[in-house]
Amino acid sequence: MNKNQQIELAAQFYSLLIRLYPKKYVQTFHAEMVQTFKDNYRDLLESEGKVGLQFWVEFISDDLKGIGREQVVSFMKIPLVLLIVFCLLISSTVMTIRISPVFMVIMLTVIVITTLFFIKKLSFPVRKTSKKSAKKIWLKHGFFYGMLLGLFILPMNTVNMLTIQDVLSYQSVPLGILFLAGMPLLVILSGYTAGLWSKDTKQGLFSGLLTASIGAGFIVVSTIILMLVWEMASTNASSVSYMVGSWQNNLESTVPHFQWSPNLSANVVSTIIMLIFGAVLGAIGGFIGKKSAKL
Amino acid sequence: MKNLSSELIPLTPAVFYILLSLARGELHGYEIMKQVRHDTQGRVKLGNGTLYGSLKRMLSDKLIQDAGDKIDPDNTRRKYYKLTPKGRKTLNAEMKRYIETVEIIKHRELIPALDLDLSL
Repeated sequence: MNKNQQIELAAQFYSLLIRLYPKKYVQTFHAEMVQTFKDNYRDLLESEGKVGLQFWVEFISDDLKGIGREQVVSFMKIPLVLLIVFCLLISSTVMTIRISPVFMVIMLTVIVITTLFFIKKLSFPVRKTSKKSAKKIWLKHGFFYGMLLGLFILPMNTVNMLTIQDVLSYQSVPLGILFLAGMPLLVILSGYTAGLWSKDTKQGLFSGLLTASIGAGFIVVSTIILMLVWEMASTNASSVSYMVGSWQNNLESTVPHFQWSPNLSANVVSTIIMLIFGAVLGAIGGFIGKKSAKL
Repeated sequence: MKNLSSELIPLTPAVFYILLSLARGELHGYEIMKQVRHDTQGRVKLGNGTLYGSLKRMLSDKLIQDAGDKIDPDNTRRKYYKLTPKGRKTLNAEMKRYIETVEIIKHRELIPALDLDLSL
């Protein structure tokens, strides 16, 4: 294999790697990046006679960081309305857990894959951040992710409180995983994006805390709303045979108490956890965002 | 009214060195990479991910602009970049900040204490 063939082969491999960048980025920079890679490779080949592992490690690791960063930036450019639709779809699907957990998991997978496909295929308009509002960037990001978290929490809380509570059931596992993974993910993402745009860890902390506070607010508000419709819920619960059966196997004295006791405890614990970890995760996200902005 | 170019100050090292390299004229991606490595005595090595990520943001901030494609002596077409007036102002503002920082260091006589070797 001669020198030119070796360069072309390496460039073909590199070309595949940079296709992992967002579509718009690839359209703009693909040819240039491949050319720069070739120039680099050729120079090294001519000066040192071979291209070592160190070159590949340095190039690939830098591009992997770049791919991660650009994908996050690209995600931030998705119109708010699309994200809301996505969250509503996810939330509605989560509700089907009581019907069939397998169906829910399949539907969630389909929704996530379809959404990722659309994000990859479509070029979304840039949602620019005004430089004048740079100092209060945490407000915008904290609110945005807080509302997303709220959209996620609201139906989950509703389904959990208005249906039978059986914490040991395998049906609760996917729901628990979604909540335990979804909440920290959104809070840390909130901190990360605020830190990335403002280059300030403190703004990440505030953003994470605001996101968690809004999430906690959603839990409290949805609980109050459910208390208002309690009469209807308890009637439903006592009229369904398997609910009554489950109540009889429980140690609670009344159906309402049976339904409320574990749900309220879970809500209180969730709220406290969210507020404590909101600041911590937000600060971690903000720190990572700040570091990423410096690259 | 706040100066537009000062809003971007302080610059990240990658952006600063890219602006510094483009201050000498129009360059393509690999030339920028080499110039940055040369200017920093190899301490800053820009990979493609960092270079083009920075170029993208700098284009969006109007610090640099596309200077068009050129056919080089090796018969390869490459895209060139050049500074915009805003980019030059921003570079000047950042260099001024660096000079002021050096002045503070000198004034406080911190250089011997830190045992810095400033010879190039």
